[in-house]
Amino acid sequence: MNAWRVFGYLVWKDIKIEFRGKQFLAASATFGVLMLFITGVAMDAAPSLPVTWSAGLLWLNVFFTTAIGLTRHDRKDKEYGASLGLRLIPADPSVVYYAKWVSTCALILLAQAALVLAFFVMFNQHTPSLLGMFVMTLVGGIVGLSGIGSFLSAVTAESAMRDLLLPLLLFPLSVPLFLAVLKITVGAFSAPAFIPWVWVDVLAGYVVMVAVLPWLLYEVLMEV
Amino acid sequence: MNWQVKLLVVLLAAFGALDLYLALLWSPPEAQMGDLVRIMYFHVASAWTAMLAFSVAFVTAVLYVIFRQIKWDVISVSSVEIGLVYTSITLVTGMLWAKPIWNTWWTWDPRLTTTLILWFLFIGYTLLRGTVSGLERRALVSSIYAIVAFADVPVIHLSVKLWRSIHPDLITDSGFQMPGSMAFTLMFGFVVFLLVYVLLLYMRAKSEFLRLRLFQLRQASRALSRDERGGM
Amino acid sequence: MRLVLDGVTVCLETGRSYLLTAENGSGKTTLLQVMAGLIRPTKGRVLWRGKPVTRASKAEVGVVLQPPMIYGDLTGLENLTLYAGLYGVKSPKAVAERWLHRFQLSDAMHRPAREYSKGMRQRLALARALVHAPSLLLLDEPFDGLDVQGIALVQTILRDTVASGGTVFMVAHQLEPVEHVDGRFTLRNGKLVEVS
Repeated sequence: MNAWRVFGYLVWKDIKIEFRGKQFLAASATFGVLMLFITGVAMDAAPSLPVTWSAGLLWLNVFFTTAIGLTRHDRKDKEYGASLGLRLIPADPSVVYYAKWVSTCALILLAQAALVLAFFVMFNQHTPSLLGMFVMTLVGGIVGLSGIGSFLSAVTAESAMRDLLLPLLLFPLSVPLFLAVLKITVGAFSAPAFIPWVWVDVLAGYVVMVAVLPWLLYEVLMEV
Repeated sequence: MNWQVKLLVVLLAAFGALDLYLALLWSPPEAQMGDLVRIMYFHVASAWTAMLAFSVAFVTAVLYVIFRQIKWDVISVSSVEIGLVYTSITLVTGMLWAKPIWNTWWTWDPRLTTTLILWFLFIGYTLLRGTVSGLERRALVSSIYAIVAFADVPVIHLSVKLWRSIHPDLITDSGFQMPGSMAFTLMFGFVVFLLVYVLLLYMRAKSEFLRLRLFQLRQASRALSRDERGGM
Repeated sequence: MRLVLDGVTVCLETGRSYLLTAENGSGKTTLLQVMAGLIRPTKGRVLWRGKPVTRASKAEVGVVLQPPMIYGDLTGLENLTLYAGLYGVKSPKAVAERWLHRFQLSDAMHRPAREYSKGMRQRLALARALVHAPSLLLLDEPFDGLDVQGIALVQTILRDTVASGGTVFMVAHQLEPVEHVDGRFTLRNGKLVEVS
């Protein structure tokens, strides 16, 4: 199908460009580990933190590094005006959006893997009792975060203060997501572990919202 | 200002004075909080008005996206700005109230927390707006953001409520039995705040329309002088 | 935030070439972007074969704007293959290679576009606009940055396009590279004037 072909080409393009320079991955991963290190210092090198704290610090750093990296990701589209060229192709503009979401999400997941690894090492974390739950929360959280992030990145595309504005808009809008992943992570690490189902619902609901809203609004956003 | 507006201003001044009298002198002190309860008349009335202002901004933003008439965007931005003023009043009065009652300036009460997030969301709106150029572009981008932000508010409120549910609700909707005189004062205060909102919205939107008109006239005069220079 | 175009009517016929020249800031790029569907006009419409522009008709238009609309990190071949694929061209890589050859970029096709000279990037931008064999070409300063040989090459290709039934509408401020065209326009105070 036409839309799937366009989608495939666009994702392939983003991944290929990133792996040619690897700047986004390298910078995000390094920055993430550094942030976690600084957080450890700020916590006075505590040998063990209660899980409600360490989960909060983990997600704080994930959100923060993602917010900073987001504005970098579509720079390559802007450099020689290729984003204009993408608006000329005979395809639904929302395909362009979903492709961007998927490639952003894949790259952020890769970059955050380093941060999560550092989290286990530096914060002296034991393996979560519900490992599958924890991994799914990480993926779900980053899917939701990159979704709202890609959308805001399109909204702020023409703002003169984009680098500052994007995190400023991102954090308030993603409060439900932040709370949900936080609570599920705490549940997965606790002993005995438990699954806070109501937060799983919030997470799923948020991801659905992030997936549907752009479909309704992105085409309008791109047309002027 | 035409005479209708002047009349409304005078009327509102009288209503405002009456509201102050009702809230500060006429209504009875509360059993536990005493005179401190009087902050509520301003706190709650401004919170309701703020919510209404953001709802108006949301509806007009939707109307702008559908019809693309600049007037909807003008009303939307005016309403957001006034809503922000009311939200600020809500936050400040909330903190002033919390200090003597709960002995802290800030509590993570779900409603207070949601209000602060709401404030950030719409401060973001004004910043976004201020940094995007192009009349139509700016209107469209800010309308879409307003729609998404407003649609997110119930989700935010729900999640914040869930998050804080381990703590007892300090003020529940029903746990605050209000005598008739207090309820009346509260409603009267709300009507006054609402009328002030309507007046401000009218004046703010009008000044924005004048600015647009001025811009158009400047355009026309520039084109005219260009024609003369060109000897056409 | 200003009124750029006012009461402009352009009517293009197939198999013809048109040139729009006007002073800087007169709105010629804006007009081109409106025609390409990148800017929604506050009033007025763009019609394609008498009907409103649709997604399918976008496939029949090739556009060159001031930015080359390519990716600096991809090679010339990858850029063209990408766009050919996005437009649904069959065997995109072979078609891309053919156009690169036509624009004399074969030697450089495995180098990233970032390393191209300005003239090479402009030729790549033109190839990008032609890769899906459009029937209408909208060109903003197509000869910008090209050397004498490049100009001759582009002139030949444009002539061929028109000869095979395509339509070319270009915007230019230098007149020398433009050969014979079927219609000439200029913009004055946002209004379109035909020049014979």
